[in-house]
Amino acid sequence: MSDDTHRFEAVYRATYDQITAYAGRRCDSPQDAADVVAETFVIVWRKIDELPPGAQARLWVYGVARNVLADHRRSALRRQARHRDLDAEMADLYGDLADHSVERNAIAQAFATLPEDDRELLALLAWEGLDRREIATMLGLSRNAVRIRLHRARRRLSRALEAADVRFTPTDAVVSTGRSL
Amino acid sequence: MRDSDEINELLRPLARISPDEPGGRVGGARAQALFADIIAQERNTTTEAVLLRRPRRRGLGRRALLGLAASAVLALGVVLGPSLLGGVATSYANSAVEIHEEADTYVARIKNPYADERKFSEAFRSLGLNVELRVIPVSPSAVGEIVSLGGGITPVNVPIGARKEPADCDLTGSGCFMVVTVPAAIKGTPDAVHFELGRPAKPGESYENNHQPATRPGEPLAGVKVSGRTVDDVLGEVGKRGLSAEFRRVVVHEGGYTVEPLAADQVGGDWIVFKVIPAREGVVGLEVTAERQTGLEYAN
Repeated sequence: MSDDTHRFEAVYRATYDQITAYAGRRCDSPQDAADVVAETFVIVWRKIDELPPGAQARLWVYGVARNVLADHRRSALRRQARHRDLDAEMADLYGDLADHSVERNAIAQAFATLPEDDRELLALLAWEGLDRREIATMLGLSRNAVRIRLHRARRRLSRALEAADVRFTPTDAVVSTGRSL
Repeated sequence: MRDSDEINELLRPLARISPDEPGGRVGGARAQALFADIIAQERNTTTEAVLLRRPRRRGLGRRALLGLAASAVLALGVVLGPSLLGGVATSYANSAVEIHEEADTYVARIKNPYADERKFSEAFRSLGLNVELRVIPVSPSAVGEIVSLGGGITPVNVPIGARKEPADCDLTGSGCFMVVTVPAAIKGTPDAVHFELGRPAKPGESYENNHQPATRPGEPLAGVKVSGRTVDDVLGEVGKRGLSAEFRRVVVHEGGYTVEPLAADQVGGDWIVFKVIPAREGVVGLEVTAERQTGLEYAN
């Protein structure tokens, strides 16, 4: 096996889980998510010479996935006119969250009102667990720019949540449960 | 404006694939098929040409991502041994753990017990082992021990071992590692084997082995009878040892009980202690009821 293949295998192994999750969280249907994952790794393979070393490799792959997703969304918008019914059905099958609490729906709606860039920044923190420095590397921004954009995104989300009257309730109120005697 | 932690807390449940769940299986057949398809392509072909040969036909279709969940691996892992194409790898290392196969047993050396807990399971999964390992902060007597097996309360019959390297070294010092052994026979089993390994707690960190009594050997109340005595009596024992106490209310249900947080000023001195558990360094938790309960089995 060539060095390139070894490098690709290493980065594929290290990031496959994360990229499938990243795509799954952002695509309205599983086949779209599958396309994004496949296309992301095809591009990583083609550009393996550009793969940065160490921990930056993962952020670079995230960056590729983000671009693929953006392209995918543009073409998806064009398709939507034709397949709106089918798309909606697939979204129902695949995208329902298990918990339909009123509060969670309100949070989801408030989140959905934010601009795309705001949502992506907040999601990279909350879902992918990236920190600000990593987000800056992934997006090719300065840390200061990320800090400012995050601040604005949080402010917009806070306002949207206030408008929806969402109160924050901590989830760990109960110490422990369910032991058998 | 809400702070960053609060917003994270609000947004995490919205993720279709939870940030906490382990997920996409790089060792799985779909991942391997995609990998094989991609590296079969010439690197200089155009994207369109490559994508025509996407692995749909190999099964990465609309159902491929259903049920996948996330794993946030913070650093690149290194796989050694046979490649994705040539079979299953036999060893794996990331910054948290190093696993290798040795005479029908997988030996996992915990390099960093304080690492993101998802890294441990990720390492096992990379070797095709359906093992979920959590390394949890525990009270001194449980450090280096398997604290639970089978996802908390369901026992499983898998001989998982734990030891220290070098033997009997001090885990709070340097050069001392926890090692876990998992029989290779569990490979391919459909149900995940869950187990928890105890590590030393950081200063102020809460113990997660709080189902084990604080009266076990090696614990601050070792050998003291507490179950069935009054709160005042037990607080006397606690105070004598320079410890402080917190309280949890025991709520008895059919077939079990739960514990709930309870403020100290709500507890009477004549209340009855069911059990004392380690809470964190210097602090024990008294599990109490207002009156003696017939549904509880008080220890002798």
